[in-house]
Amino acid sequence: MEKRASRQFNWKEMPMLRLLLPFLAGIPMGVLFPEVPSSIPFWGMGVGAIGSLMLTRRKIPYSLRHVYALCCLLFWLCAGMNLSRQHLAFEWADYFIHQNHPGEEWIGKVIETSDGSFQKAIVEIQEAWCPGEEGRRVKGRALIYPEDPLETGQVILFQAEFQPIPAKRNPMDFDHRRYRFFQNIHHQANIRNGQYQVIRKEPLHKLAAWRNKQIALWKKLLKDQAVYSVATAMVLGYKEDLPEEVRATYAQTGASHVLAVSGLHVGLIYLLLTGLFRKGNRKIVHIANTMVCLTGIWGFALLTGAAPSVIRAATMFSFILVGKQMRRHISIFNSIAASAFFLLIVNPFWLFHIGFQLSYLAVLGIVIFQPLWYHLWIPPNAILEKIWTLITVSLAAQLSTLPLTLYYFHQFPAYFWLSGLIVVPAAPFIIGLGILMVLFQYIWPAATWIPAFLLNKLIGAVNWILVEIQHLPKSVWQDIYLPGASLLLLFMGILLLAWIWELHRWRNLPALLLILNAAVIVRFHAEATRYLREKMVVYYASRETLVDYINRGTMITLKSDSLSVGKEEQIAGAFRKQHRVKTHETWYIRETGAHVKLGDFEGHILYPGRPEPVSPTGTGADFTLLCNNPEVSIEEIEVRGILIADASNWRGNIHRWKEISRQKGWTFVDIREKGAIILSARRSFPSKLRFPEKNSGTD
Amino acid sequence: MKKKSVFFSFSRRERFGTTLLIFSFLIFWFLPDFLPVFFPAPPLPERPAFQQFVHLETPDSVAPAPPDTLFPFNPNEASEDQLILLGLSQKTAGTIIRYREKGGKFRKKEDLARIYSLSDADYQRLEPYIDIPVSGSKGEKRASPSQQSRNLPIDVNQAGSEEWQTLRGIGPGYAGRILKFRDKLGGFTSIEQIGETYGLPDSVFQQIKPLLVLSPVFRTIPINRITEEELAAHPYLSRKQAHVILLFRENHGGFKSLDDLKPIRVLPDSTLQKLTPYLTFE
Repeated sequence: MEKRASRQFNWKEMPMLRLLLPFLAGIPMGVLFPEVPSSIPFWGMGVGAIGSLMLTRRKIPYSLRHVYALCCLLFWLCAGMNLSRQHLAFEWADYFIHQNHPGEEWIGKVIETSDGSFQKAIVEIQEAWCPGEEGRRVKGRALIYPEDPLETGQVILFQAEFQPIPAKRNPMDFDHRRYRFFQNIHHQANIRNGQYQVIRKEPLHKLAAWRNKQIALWKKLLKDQAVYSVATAMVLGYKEDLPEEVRATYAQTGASHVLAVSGLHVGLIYLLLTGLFRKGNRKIVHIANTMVCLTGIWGFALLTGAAPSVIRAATMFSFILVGKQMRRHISIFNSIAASAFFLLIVNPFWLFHIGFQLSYLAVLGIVIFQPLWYHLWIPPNAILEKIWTLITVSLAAQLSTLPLTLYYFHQFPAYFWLSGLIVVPAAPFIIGLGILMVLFQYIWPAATWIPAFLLNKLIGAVNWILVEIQHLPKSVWQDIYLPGASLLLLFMGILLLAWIWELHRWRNLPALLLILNAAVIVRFHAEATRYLREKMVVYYASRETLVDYINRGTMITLKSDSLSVGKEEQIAGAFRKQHRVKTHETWYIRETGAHVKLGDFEGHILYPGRPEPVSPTGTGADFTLLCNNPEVSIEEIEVRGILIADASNWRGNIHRWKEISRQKGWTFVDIREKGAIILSARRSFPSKLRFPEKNSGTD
Repeated sequence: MKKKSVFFSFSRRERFGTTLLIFSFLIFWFLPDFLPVFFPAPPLPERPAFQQFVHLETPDSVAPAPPDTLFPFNPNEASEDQLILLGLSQKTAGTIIRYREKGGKFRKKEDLARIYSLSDADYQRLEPYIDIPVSGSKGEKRASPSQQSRNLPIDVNQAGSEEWQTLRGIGPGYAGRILKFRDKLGGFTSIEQIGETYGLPDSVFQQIKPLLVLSPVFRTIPINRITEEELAAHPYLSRKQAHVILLFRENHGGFKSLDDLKPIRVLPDSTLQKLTPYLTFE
């Protein structure tokens, strides 16, 4: 059996990658441990820098050969921590929140707006005016909710009381606070109509204005919403108008990466362009080749209005191109790592953006697997060769991004390979036609309808095929909840697969199966504990009461009358699905007695009009739930267990109860403030009750 | 090719191990779906009936022991002290006063029972002493005095606001909405329709259903003579549907029967079914 040396995976050729890894580890550490004083990573950087400097020149004794590497590791780890720490708005001396006094007035520029069920806008705060004092220059972004729509570019003077963005209120909610955290937005405020005035309107950046014009034009040229929304998403990176059904179709067929202008697109363009200039060994041809590709990529980036995802992808590919140009045999991983370094120094929080993660995963997948799979078949002619390239690219990108999309979206598109065969070859044509449509407007306006017509037909066909795929039996496997450990194991499995395939070490294939088994067993363990554990959830439902008791797929719901089905589904639907609830009974609180015994949980529910449950031994052993402002003097009740006030109560009452509980030493849970609470019992373990388990956490 | 043969040449031991791992993977993947089989769901707990609890007297209990003083009183006018004398707690008395201050009126004895903090026991005790003078003829236009008693079923097409409010769970708000809805419809043709009233919780509707009784509709839809405005005002039809129906009528002459309406595409069968009891074809 021959042993192959790897062409690609040679650590010696990838200095950037070796440094990137500690840097990548440092970034989250800087954010996760805000308590650590910033002097520590600074010292770490200092030690690392000096240490590595000292060891550069001299001959290193054999026993100390690793010290240099450790110094570098320390340096870059601390560099990552520092960078992310500094990027965090709270660390800035002139962060606007430090000036957040009551009555403060602000001047800020509107950067983004969006409609939906309510208006939202992001403002870049520029000045803070304390009443009676001089204005101060400040920095930072905030989320505001105006009554009437604002426009991007407007500079407004407004008065607002900023509150921190609240944590998610119910389990399985989208974590809005975290999403905004990594956009460096931490506070929000409501703005009433009388509270602001527009000072001036700064014109949009020319590029942004031009992009908006294109979007409007395309809307007219490609009439069908399902068609123009796909076109604008793929070429211009504009996804706001995507109808829900289209989004779902693409997500469920595994084709949604194509809707995001990301590494895949720019990669396709790169492949096409590099494919054009094969001939010639002379250096000048190579330089020309590189220049053309660079122009092409950045031209495309500018043409599509320079959306952040495009810029990132263009940067990545520029690094790759230039790296290849400088030294033919430079490892492509080095260039990719260098681009990641560069981008993360610009904004370390991109590490946490799903677009960034998917972009890099897709590119890494392509770079690792596509060459391996490409060699499996030799296409007989040039056209098939192009198609085969595209197929292998698509499959490679989908494989590497699959664990992450499975983790985030809880679904597995079974026909992803099929949809890949359709959309990835179609993508370059769609992009090409889009570019033509733009160019024709300036060169030959009368004929703009030609690419528009073709684009209509093409996207229409693609959409139709995807819908057919979506309706195939078992096309989506839903409700797959992957624990973090399983995700890591899956990635390790992919790396192992790459290693095995690259080196032809097929004997090690069982190791891969072993890792997959480990991933699946971890998932089974998570599912089993979730299923077997009795739980009681008191949800956050404003002005209503919603409580679920879930045990092994059966559920009892206690709710107030006026809670609508839609709202209930929105609050509890995802959590219930995750717990595989099959049988379900609803008790309306008004008709239910005050003393409830649900499996292992025993407690009282106090509701207006109820005689107080004054039993000799006090209230329920586990919990006492106050709903809808019961007229109860809790000082006169002996509360055992924990006292819960849900969001159907008035704040005044909650405040009073909290105070009384504090004096009496009771455990008080304020759902309004802390969000939903999950109580869990452990049957298989001797300790009976463990609560509160987590606040609005998931398992 | 060399690499292919290496790929396919697993020894027997390796084959066994590999196959085992494949099956193990599949088993653990699908195992969570079989959890209900191995660990079946327990029976659901019993719902505790309402008012299971006994009111125990403690020295600091909020409700004082009911005294012997009972006298006739008008809940619309009794002072707080009088109410407390009657044995009500300070809280309950305060609630009654506040209710009155906000414009609430007790028109009949049963209205007092609807005060939340008034226990059933207290109500039973006070009921014989409630003295409410009969109000003048300020009732709703459609109130029929013979149905004042709570025990008779409510005629959904004739009952006025007060009668609706005698039902448990229906207050002035819901009563108003039901009446508005009824006005727009021209009368209820089935009990289920009342459940469609905007904002009426299903639980309340289920409670009042047994107490409702139908009577003939008081306004039909003469489909061949009605104007577009009147048609569009009906809750079951949109403006567009009204417009199309009118156009259809103009082009095809009058509608002779229900079948003539079936071909209209914007009118789904479900809507047509709901409209059928109202339609007349003269």
